[in-house]
Amino acid sequence: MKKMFLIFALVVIIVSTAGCWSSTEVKNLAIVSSVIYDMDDENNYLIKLNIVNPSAIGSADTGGGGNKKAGITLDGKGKSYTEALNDVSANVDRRLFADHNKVRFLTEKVATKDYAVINFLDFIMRDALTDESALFVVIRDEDKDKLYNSTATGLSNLIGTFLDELATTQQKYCSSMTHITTLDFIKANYADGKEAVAGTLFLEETDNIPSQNSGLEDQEIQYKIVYEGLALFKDYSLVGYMNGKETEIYNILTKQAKTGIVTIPKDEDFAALTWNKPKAIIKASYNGENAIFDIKIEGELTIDKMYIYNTSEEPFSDIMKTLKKEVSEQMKTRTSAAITKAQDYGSDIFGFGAMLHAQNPKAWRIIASDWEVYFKNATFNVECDFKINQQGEINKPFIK
Amino acid sequence: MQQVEEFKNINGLYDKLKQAFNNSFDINIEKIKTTEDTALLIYIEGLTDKDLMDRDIITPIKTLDFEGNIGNAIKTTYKDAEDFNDLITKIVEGSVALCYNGYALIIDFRKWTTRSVESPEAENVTRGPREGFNEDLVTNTSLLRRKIRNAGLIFEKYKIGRQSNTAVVIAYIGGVVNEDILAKVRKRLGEIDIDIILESGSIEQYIERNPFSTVSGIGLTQKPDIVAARILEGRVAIICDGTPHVLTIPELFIENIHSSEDYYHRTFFASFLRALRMIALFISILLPGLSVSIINFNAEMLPSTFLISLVALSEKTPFPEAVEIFFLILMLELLKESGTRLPKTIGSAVSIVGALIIGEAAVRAGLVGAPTVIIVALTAVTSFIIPSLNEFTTIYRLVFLALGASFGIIGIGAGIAFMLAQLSSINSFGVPIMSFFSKRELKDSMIRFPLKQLKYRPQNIAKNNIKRAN
Amino acid sequence: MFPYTFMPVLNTYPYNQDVWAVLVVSLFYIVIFNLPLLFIMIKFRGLTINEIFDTISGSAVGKALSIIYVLLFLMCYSACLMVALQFVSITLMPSTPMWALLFVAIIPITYIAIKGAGVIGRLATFIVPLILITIIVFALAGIKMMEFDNLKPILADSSFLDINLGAMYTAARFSEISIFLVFSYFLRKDADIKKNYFLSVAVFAVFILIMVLSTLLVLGYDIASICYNPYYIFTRQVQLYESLEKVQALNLFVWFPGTLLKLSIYCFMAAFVLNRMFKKVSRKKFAIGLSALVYIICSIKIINNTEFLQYIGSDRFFPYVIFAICFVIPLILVAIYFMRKKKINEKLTLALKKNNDEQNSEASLPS
Repeated sequence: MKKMFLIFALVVIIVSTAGCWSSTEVKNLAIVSSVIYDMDDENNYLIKLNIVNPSAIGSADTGGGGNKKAGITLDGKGKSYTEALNDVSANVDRRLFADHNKVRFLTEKVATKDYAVINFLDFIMRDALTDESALFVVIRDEDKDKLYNSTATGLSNLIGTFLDELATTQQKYCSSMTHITTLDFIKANYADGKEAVAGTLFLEETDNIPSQNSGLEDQEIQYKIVYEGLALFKDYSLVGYMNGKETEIYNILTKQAKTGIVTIPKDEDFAALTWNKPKAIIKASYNGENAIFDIKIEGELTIDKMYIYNTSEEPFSDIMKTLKKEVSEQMKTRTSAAITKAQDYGSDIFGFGAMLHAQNPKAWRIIASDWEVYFKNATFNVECDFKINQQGEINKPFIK
Repeated sequence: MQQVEEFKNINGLYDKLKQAFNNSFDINIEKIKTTEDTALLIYIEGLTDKDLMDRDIITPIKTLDFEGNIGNAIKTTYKDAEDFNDLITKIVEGSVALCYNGYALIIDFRKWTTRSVESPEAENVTRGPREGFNEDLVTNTSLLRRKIRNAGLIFEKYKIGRQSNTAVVIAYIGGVVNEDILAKVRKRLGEIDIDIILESGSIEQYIERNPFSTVSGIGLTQKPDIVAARILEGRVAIICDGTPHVLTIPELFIENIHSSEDYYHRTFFASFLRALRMIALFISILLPGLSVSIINFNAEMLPSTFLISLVALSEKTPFPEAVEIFFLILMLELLKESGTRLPKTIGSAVSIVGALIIGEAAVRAGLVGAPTVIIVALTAVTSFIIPSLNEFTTIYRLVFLALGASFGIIGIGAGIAFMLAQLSSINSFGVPIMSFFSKRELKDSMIRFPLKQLKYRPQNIAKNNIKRAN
Repeated sequence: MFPYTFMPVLNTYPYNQDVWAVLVVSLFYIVIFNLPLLFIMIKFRGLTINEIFDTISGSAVGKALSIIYVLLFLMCYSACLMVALQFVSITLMPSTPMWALLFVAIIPITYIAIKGAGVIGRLATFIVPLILITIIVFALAGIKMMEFDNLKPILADSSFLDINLGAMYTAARFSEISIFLVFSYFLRKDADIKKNYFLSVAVFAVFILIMVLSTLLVLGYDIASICYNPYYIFTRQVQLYESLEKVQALNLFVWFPGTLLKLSIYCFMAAFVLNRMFKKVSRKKFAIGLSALVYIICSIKIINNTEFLQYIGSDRFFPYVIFAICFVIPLILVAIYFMRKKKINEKLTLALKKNNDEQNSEASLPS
């Protein structure tokens, strides 16, 4: 009995004087929404954090909104990213909470220096409190100052939420953008036979801004975000960009694309078709000298808008056949162009090396160490085969 | 009939009895003139059916000619008192005593007012019988006898309490009951040495062996159908005179979640109700601690929009979350306690005042935040679903709150291991109370399979008589 | 073997994505490595572990063997505890000092070990199904994020020898057979040891495979092999519904009681063996003493840091120790048994009779 009492007293004493070392009160949190990682010319690491202002967003009870800004921006500088973070935390009245971080921006300056990217990755992976599901985006150097102060955020409060929602929602409907998380980026960097990519965005000037949820004044907003395309990396440093159309090809070849639009011009008219459910079947082989890849892309097409045709001149099935062929031709050209661009950069972002490894491991063992050279000289035979599946809700053109 | 020497002198007996009962006003010791000689009639006012006594005892002995054998005159059955102490004992139990010429006859004309058989307030069911035990021992045993019309139903009577001599009856079914448990119950009842037993709760505390545990291994109920079902599983029931609460021994932990109407509803609905009660038990114990630990240590688990509004609301309150929750739980317990003491008419008004107005006012004043009120309200609602585990949940709720606030989810995990270990180590009369995970017993523990499939009694209780149906 | 905290199979031969095949092959080796102890358990049913060693090899050597096993349990207890607490300290609660975490862990462990085998068994019937269910739930929820390309090319990168080597190292870590050995004394007379053993190895194998596969498929081999706790990182990626992300706390909620249960089993076994050797000191005192000893061991900073723990858990130390104690020694004992069969059988019947008498006399005491 006495023993039990002693144990009980011990437990109570420990628990009550514990003082809760690691607990953080919710009211002491500064929730980080997005981060920009940058460097300056003297090789100092700069961090810019966008922090949520909860009472501005808040709930109905606290009467949020109004003239409060939805986020505040903080800067930090140091010899490493940890030092820079410490620099920021020393001047904030709350504890930084980075677990809800939505986007990590890397400026071109950092991305082009491979040791800087490696530093960044090591920092991200070691720190227990950072997570790997944040989006990973490369931004132009000139955009970094405008991003938090003068950019429209659509229907969200902050840039981080805006981009996160955009990438998640539009991923199903639009293939000209990527949804690369930090984990994907890290995995691609580690993997053999595949190079990393990152999303990218650029800012465009615009006059037409609807009323904002970010608390910024209307006249402060001058830019809007265009989130399409991707950034190519080679051996931990940025080498180039691809535009939206080429990103569609990337998404098709890496089996992430869902849908996209093709426009076939005809005289002064055009036909607009949507391709769905693309399948890319890639066969990799090695003939002793070069790597050969046979790519076959298949998919279904839906007609969104048909050009005007005369049913008496050509039967409908012939028109469909011509249309199909033209779409396939266009896709084939685009695919070859995208692959050639990647070959020029020497960066195998599509993962052809990994496919060769998977399909022909013996060959891979021979050429793995020089994959960059082999990739540049590899032969790609592209075939596209799209079938017209649906024509929308009408089966003849609108005008007679 | 037998003659006893000390009863021959009626006057001497009269004086002795007067002295023994100290002139207590309700014990009537009367000399009655019979057709032959004087007889002594002793009865207790209020415990005797006077009409029957008049008709069957007084009138015959005053009118009939019985030739010294008074037993032939009275028109009812009787027993003999063996000696003076026996006579006194039987008189205070309420029987009528008739002494004449060395004979002391004990006649049972007991009748007193008791509460009628009503539905117990705390054990409401939507389906099932509504009869409940009352304070009279014989009524209770008769209610039980009507449920089990079987010669194997055995009632053993004990008298416990040095001064009160309360009648306590143990009920079991011979052939089904677990003999070890029966032997232990008999032994422990025999060991009770106390002045007075007023309620079965005192008996419960004397016969259990885990005085410091928060869960007792002894079940409590006021309804005869529950007791009948339980003793048919091999248990022993203890009925105490003067209280409608009947003990059933032993009780497994899982039975706190069972309710009698589970067996009267259909399978899916009954299983759903049981699962609901299990969820309610978890919420009642774990919700405050878990919510504090998640908010303070693992805030990344909350969706961002919720977290942002939580921060916005908490910015205005001065205290940490754990303190707010503790304060509200304390208020909850105070309200519960005051609610049980007040008369019915004011009781509901007070709870409305307390819960709504004080809670609302506290939020408005900025003392506590709205999420805290929701958490504690949910805890309160679920704590009423399982009333028998009230002590258990109240104590462990506070323990988990403290652990969750200081050590987060790790503390709660350690607390769960400790709590389950403590529960698993409690033995009620040799039967471990957490033994319900074997294959057969799963059919009737957390969900309920159709009655046709419940062919076996609980394994640990009915050791040798497991099968109850084919 | 501490598979729930860090996956040793990811850091063994063949060091590539075929480690799941290593797991499958290691089952076969596990059964082989456990055969001597299984044989001893079935043959010497009804005796405690001390008595088994005494019967086979005489009382002096038997005592020495029992001490070796106690040291093994002590090592497993403190190593598992340190690995678990290091993980907690790094990931969840960086500012909580180690002594507080040690208290939170050691008090329930000692309590459970004091209460004995019945409580441990009943506790396990609650905690183990919960753990299994969470593993399945997370595996199902992570299907969206799984990329089967992470496993290709299947089995083409590693040689047969590599896979077998890795399987042998993995199988050599299986120290749970010693738990079987000690607990076989508590089983009911009609329980079938062989069936129980194979059933538990099968369940263990299936669930470890699910865990390793889900981690490999989502994280990829390269990242998983450098993480301290790959399964935890995997659970961090899983999204239960649209907005419910990062639910790794659910994983911890069942992992910590499971770890405490396992450590309390080790503590109980060590105290039990010591109690049977030195009958004067009760098992309760031994359990408390052992926990105090482990507390002191875990407070030494030289031992309790990640570098030393990595060394202990790696292929250079742990498999050899377990292999020696759980395979080589029993093999020698089996050989001795076959050499001195008659003598040992006599001693066996005597010891069994003594045990039966003791149990009968205990049962006849009224409670």
